[in-house]
Amino acid sequence: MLFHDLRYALRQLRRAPGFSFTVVLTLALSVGAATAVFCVIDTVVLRPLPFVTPDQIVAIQATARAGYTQPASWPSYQDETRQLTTFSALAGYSSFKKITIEAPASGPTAIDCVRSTDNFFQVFGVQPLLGRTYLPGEQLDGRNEIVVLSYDAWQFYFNADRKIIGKPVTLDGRSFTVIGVMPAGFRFPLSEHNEVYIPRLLDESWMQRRGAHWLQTVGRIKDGATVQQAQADLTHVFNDIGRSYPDTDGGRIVKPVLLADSITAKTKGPLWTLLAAVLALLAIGCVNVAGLLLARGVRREHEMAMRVAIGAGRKRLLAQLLTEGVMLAVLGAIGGALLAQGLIIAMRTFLVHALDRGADIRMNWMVLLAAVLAAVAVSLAASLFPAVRLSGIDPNRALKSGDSAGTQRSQARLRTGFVVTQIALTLVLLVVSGLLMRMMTRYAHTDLGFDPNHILSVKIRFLPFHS
Amino acid sequence: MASNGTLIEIEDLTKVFYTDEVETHALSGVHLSIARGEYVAMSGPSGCGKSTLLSIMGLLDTPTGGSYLLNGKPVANLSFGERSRIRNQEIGFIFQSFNLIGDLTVEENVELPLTYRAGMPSAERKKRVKEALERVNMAHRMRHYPAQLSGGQQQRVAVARALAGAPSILLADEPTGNLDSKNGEAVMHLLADLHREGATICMVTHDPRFAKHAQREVHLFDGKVVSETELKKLEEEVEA
Repeated sequence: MLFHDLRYALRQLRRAPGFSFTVVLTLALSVGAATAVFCVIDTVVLRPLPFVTPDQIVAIQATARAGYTQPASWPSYQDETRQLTTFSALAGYSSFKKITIEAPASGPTAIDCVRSTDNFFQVFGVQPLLGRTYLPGEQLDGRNEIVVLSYDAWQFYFNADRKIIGKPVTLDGRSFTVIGVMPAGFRFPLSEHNEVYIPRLLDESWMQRRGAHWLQTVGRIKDGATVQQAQADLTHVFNDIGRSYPDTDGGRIVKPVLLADSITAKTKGPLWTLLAAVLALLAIGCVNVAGLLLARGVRREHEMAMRVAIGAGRKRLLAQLLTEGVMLAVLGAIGGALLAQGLIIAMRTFLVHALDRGADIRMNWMVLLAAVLAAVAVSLAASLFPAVRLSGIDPNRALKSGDSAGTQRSQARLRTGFVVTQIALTLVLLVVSGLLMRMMTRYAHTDLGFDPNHILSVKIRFLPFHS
Repeated sequence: MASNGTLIEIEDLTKVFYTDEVETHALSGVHLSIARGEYVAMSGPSGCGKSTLLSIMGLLDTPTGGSYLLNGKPVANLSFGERSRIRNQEIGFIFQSFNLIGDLTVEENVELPLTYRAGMPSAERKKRVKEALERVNMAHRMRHYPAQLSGGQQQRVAVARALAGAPSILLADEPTGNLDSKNGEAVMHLLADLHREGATICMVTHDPRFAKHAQREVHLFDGKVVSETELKKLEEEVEA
């Protein structure tokens, strides 16, 4: 019987291509968009950071007396590491300056480079895939011409050479030795990818200036210590440094922010708003599908009445109608999965720098499974009402009513209900879209503190070259 | 064809429709029995209740009162599922508007009631479908869809669908109503042939020419069975 129902369901879809296409497209759009956006939220907001005990890692956010963000200077960083008691490691790093790599798989290419203190990897607790990370003292001149590759850089520039450890690589025209390769997924800062890590900070002249605040800091709180204790510790140390060097460090306010919170602080709001919009879209899609199936059910009343008249039981009709619903759901889910995959690839490409973990956006198979189940559930739920109604149809009345079928008062009420629901959900979608637009407008009109007219920003990079 | 026992026994059957506080008595105490192998035509003026009676006989509708025995079993107040099962196994329907399913081929339309019969193997279904279509001379159109057939051919397919399940009785509601006179006659001859072969048939018609094909004619007037003499007298009273 199942084969019979499947064959008939397929034929039904083939003989009503407009209906089938509309339902499948509606489901695919709803499921695809919801899946893609949820995958982004899963990656950026929900998934734990790829570090050991990430809830002990904090970004140190300091603001100057005037209110702007102010990283550390090298001398103040050294004071902090000496005085802080609640941190097992406090690393300094800088990632604003690119470095030119000359690797076998490319010509000279400017890539992201994280210059850090030698305790950098200690903060994250992640073991390298190959080789080792820095040893204490390797940030000192004469020992710091070593490099740790990110997994992406190892794959792209060194063709995943497993014998890379110990080999030389030219960075900014100087020879460095590869000492390690980090595992896939490890990246810091999280917005960077294809980067390399070196324990070599800035020139000595910059390093000694207490007024030059350029060093970002990230730290691991000791086991058993809390963020509140770290906050108190930091405040005490910053006040102490401020009193000692009032001209350069006086009046600074410091705050340890859990790394996960610092990453999602700006994006969490818009992403959840976007999810609300997509869920509203999903709900509208469901109501549309339900409305289409209902309208189709009304058109098929005569057929169902005929089937009942010649002996179809209620279970048989339910099975047949639900088989058709499941078939639509499966097609919609396949379309949704393909669309979600396409959207995820597009977002990974375009959101690499816009979102902190943009490069990590991947299809989450559990999310996809949930979306497929949602599509099946939506389609089944949408099929269920017409199916229940049609399977219990009064054959005598329906066979007599002919073309007037579908004009009963209950059906009119139901259609009105669907229209009202659709209008309500569309209003929700409009409101959410309005909020997103407002958010974007606010970002576009942020006061930069200077007149951006007639100012050009130019980035010059070496393009990869392949022989 | 000789009768061999009563197939349908209806006693004091009533049917009342309620619409917006208006009571309509479609049937008012009908008594009717049909013997196995009998060919009965039910006739009467429009609105006399003949289609309502046929719907109740076919378990498409339930009576308001009275009793109805089919094959000696009371069937007036069965559940939805039980009525479906009896319709599937005991009753073959032939409708005025054929009621074939447009998305199914001729073969699938005829096979449809058999697919609702639990436990019938596919080979047995195919055999019965072939025999039924051969019986109505439509075997050569098995793969066609209803829309590709003429009205007469569609009605023959509908007859085949009714026959395929080997029912106890064929119920035909104005089977010639949508056909021209030539095709109408052809369908009447087909029913007559089936009756000669042993089928029990009950047909609703308002056309006296077709009613003559039956062994017995039952007249209905205002929801009651009346004799031919009474019918004429009542009709004259109405005209007067």
